[in-house]
Amino acid sequence: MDQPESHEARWFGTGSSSTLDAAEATAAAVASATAGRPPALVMVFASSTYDLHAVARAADEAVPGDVPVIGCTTSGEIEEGAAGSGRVVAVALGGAGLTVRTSVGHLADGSREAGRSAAQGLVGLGRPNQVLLMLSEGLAGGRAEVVRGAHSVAGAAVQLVGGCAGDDLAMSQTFQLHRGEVLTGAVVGAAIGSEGPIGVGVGHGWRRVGEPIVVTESDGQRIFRLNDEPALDYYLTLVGAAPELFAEESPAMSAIGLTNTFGLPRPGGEEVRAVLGFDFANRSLFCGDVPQGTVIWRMVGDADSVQVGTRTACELALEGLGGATPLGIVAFDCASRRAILGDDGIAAEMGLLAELAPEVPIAGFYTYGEIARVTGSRGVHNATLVLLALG
Amino acid sequence: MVDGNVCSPHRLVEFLTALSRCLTTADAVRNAAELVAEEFDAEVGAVVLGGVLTAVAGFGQRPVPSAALTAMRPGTGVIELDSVGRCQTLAARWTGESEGRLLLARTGEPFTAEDRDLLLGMAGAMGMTLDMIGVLERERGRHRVLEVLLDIQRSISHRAPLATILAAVTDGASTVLEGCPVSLVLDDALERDRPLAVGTDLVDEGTSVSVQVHIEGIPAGALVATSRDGAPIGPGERSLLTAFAEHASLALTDARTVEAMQEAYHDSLTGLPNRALFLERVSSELRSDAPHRSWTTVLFIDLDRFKAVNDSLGHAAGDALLREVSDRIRACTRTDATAARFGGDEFAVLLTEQSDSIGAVVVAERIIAALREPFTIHGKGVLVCATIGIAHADHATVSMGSAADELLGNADLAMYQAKAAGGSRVLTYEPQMRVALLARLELQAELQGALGRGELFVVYQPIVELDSGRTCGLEALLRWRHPSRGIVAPLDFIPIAETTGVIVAIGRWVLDEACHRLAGWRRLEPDLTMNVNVSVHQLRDPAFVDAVDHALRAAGLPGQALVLEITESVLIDDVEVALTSLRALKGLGVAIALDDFGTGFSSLGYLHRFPVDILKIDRSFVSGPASETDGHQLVRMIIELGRAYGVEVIAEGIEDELQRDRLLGLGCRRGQGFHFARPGEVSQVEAFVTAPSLAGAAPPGPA
Repeated sequence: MDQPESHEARWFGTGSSSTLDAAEATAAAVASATAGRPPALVMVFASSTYDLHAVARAADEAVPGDVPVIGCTTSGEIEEGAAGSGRVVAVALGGAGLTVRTSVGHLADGSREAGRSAAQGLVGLGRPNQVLLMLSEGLAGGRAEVVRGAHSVAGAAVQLVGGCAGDDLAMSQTFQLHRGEVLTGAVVGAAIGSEGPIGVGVGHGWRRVGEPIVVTESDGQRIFRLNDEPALDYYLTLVGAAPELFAEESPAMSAIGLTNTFGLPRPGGEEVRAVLGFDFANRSLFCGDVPQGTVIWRMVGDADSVQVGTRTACELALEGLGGATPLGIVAFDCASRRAILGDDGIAAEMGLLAELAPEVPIAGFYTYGEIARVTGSRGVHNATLVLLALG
Repeated sequence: MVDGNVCSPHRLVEFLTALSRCLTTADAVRNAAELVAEEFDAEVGAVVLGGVLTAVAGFGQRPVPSAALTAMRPGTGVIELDSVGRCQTLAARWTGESEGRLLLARTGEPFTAEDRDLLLGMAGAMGMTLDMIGVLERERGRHRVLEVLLDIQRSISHRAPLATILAAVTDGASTVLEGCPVSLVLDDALERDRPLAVGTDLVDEGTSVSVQVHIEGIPAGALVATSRDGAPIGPGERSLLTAFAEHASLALTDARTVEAMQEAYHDSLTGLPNRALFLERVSSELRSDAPHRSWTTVLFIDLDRFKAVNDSLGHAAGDALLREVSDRIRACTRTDATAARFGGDEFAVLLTEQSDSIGAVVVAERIIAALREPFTIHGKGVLVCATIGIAHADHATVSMGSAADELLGNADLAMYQAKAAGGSRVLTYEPQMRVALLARLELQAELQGALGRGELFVVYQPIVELDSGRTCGLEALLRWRHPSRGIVAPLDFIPIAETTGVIVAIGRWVLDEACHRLAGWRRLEPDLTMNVNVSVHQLRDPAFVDAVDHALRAAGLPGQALVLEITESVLIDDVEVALTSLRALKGLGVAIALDDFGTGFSSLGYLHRFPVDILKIDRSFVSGPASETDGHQLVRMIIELGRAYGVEVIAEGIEDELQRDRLLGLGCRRGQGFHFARPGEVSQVEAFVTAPSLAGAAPPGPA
């Protein structure tokens, strides 16, 4: 007779290193996360300052050949109650109660197809509880299509969770890692099946201000016109930007984009969209997944409200475990929230998470967009904290 | 409201735009299943076409409970689905060339009537799209038609001008129908018998087919196609025409909605948020649970003297002034503050993150200072000012619900108090203001009936020749004998009578009463005159001059027997109106006295511009604390001024012999005050008039 698989059968470990050498840092982080145990999945979140090929190779070498290793570049890393930049963070899961399969989709094949491909690990996965974790290209639009593609495989019974890769706010290129390969423009999916409960929590803490704005022209990646005015000018006026910012790109702009978001009214609240860039040539905004013809609101947040979002996300993720003790939590936290919180705020956020989930290992990274489908069919988020709790 | 009615056409546009990209039925059906699930935050979305479950989203690789889904009927319900759980369901059907249903199942909130409404609209759009695709798939010129409709849909979602979209609809339909003339005939709400027509002129010959066009579901006209060579128009073409008509309906409804949204939330004159949007923002601010936002502050701004500008320079100038005022108010506040106009000359500002009440007062004083600077309207200099009431809400104690209304009401009340205290100032709301307001409202209600109940009466104070002490005139003074409060002081009820407008009726009664009495007393002293106080409201009353004429005639008095006393504020507030009335009164022979001279703006310019006959020196210069020093100088100046302009001077408030002597020494000939007589009731007046001298008749007493 089989022994029923107990909580102890599964484990969750984290590790990090800021050693300058990429291979050394990766090896140290993975070793700390696995602690000698055979993992079912290893995730590596690396600062874009590292040589990614060295990270990918070192991570792949650090685990047995058949263990999938996935990862991506970040806009900051989270581990052991600390968040900052310039580290490699590793998360390892394992134990008899877990099955993990990974697969990759490429945006070049179409966003929807990329989502479908990334979800293929779910086919025949087994286990009573499943979640699809996705690490996606951070500088492309079409995320709603990626989620649709993944959802068409996953169905409502499987929650979707994940984040879009970052590059420390350089906004030039992000990378995804899969089994020793360094990819760009890819969606890496890890289908996780578990005997234990799985909880996903989403929270943002932004609130809408001002009056509704009609998106009069957009193409899914960029917004060209708002209320039938050039989107860039409308936006800068809306946020009260200094006159000189209307003329040309300046370093101050990315902070404006991250801290002044838009909200799409949805049943039960708003979905937030951050402005990732500005096109001065045709006065448009890089702000994906805002369909033409929709009505949106300006959203504002501050350090206090962002913490309200943190609490919401954590409470929802733990609630999803139905009272079971979490083994660990993977965090996909938006780079814009980091920009708003600042160092003190981040410390407070980490403190709040430690208070809500005491003794629970938490690791993850700062993203350029988050993925979470818990109920309903939508899953694209921005400026939001998404937490995956594994029980 | 914003999430519901205003948004649903946009959500419908979004849905239609997405469907319009589909070239085949299969594509449209699959997309529709996903889109409706996303739109309603549902786990499951499905399409049943012709009784068959054709597309399902939400089950992924798991088995689809086809039978349970196909069995879902239009309307709401509850269903248990294997991999999803217990779900609320909603279904809506469409009929047309194709028949089908859109199905939704979600684990979240039950579906609302609004959801049902939107899904019904989407089902209609779905049916229309499928019909269109069906027809198009059959038609030879399929690509061309598609492009035409796509263009129209694009221009709808790009919000092209309505006329452009409607022309594209008629041109497109005509192209698709092989050149049949197509016309869009819309009912004109203003001219019922002359409909608006877009497209080809209607021709009488040939068979025609028409399909209704709607605005927000209400028939608003028709899209009419006329066969070119008498050939009958078949059901296929008719359904194509229907698709075009639906697009026209959508464009018309959408245009109305965008406009309505703007109109519903903004003041059209200044572009500022209106009361509705302002209250929404106040509510949202009060709901904000950000810890540092412990106070929410509202300023209620009322312009002083705006009516005078509007009346004298015209409404266009008034509007221009309001626009400039709104610019100045905006310039005085931070970008995160909300300035709003409530209509008329009322503005409001919502301050966020003003940590203390002093900050709000500073902003309010800045606004007053900015508005006090002269405006140039249509080339003319215009002076106005503002009175501001401030109210704070403490987030710790605020009660939700009517909190925003209450906060605004408090600011309004503080403004009202500031106005009552003379205007051009800032007051912060305090709870006792409400108590004072209630008392005032009570008094106001009682005052309405006081005249009818005979509680008002007039007393008369003699105006005497200072040298002889002989009575040469009387001033009529209004009093109120309240049944429970006793005699109410004029200062406590005359301002109320002025704000409620009841002063006009009361003033007319005083005038009639005083003239009637004077006629009797002139039998004893034929040169006796009567001074009657006139408020600015009476002077603005177009019937006032006639009322004076009537009072004089009824009493059989010449105009010269009457002196009307006005205050300087009359001359400042309503220059043109005042001038017109005063000239007409002079025409009756009535003399005009300027009351309380020296206390207000006291511009010598009045003496040039206005037909003033008498200056009354305010009591404060005669018997007040300042009378010994500065007052003395001022009195001398006024008397000399009067002499220079040929204007008589009367001193008020003479309380003793010394004051009388000093005035006489300065050349003042007439005066009134307790030194001669306190105001007396009708029965006492005969004694005033017949006494050879009143000097010393009354001991000095308190004012």
